Amino acid sequence: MLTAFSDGELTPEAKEQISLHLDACADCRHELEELNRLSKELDRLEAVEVRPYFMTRVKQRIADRQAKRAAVKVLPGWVRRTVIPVGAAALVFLTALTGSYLGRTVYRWRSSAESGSTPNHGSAGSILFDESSEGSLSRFTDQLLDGGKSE
Amino acid sequence: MTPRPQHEPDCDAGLARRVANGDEAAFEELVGKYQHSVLNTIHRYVGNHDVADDIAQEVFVILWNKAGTFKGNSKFSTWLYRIVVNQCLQFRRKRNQALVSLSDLNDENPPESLQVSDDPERRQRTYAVQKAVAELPDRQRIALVLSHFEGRPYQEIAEIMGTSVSAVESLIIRAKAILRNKLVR
Repeated sequence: MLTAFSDGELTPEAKEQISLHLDACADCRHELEELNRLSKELDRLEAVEVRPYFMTRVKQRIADRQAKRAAVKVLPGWVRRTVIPVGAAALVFLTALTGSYLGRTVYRWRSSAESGSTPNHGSAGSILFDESSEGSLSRFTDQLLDGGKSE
Repeated sequence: MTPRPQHEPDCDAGLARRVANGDEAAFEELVGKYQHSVLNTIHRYVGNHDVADDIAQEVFVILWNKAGTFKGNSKFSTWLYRIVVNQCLQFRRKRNQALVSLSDLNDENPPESLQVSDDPERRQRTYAVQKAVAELPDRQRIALVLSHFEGRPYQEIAEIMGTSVSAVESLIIRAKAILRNKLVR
């Protein structure tokens, strides 16, 4: 109640009742004093000023967002709904395929180098793929690229 | 308590309707009118001027884009401050960090951004207040900032925060109890 009193939130009647109570109650007077001191402490936090060109920066941000939205809207709806997701999925698939193929190739180079059958083609590859192994994706890549002749 | 800012809600509602129709002049008027109080509310919540500036810009971008959703059921400032509070809470969720910018507060010395005075004692005291406010739980801090610094009545804070007046009063009582223990006693 004292917090609401000090914040000016009470009706005139409630305010008067509290005032009467404060006359008779030292504890509440002490509490109210503390609230007032706290209020002064909080007022130490001074306001900051709005930085120059605030409006310009807000407008620039709005323009940037609109430009982004417009760029997406240039594409017809069916392109956004079909070509983009299918293209993204194809890109992921091709990336995985290429990575797998390269990984397997380097792994073979390293194996060949270790067995001494061919010169060491790439020490960097040997280091990078030291922990590599021939997984199912590698085999799948081979099958896809050379019809499984390498198996 | 800091003086209560004076707003004219009826005029603001008209401006908001014009903003919804793409009126840039009305938008500039609303930004000009509220930028200081919006920035300071956010600053007192996040405790960092750069972050506050960024969030304040975002608030006004939302105003531009969503002005059409303001139906006039509440005061314009209540609607705008709902955006402010949501953006502040969203920032907290994203960053999941304490405020005043946070790592700075573990230090005994005030960061540069808080060095508001040449008097070292006053500076330390201001820093202690800033730190104590920053450590309040989110909802207590928002209620306190809106009440003490923005001078918003409990009823409006309740509408902004989507809660009851008694809940707002309770948040403010708890916030002040924590601050009294840290700063006054």
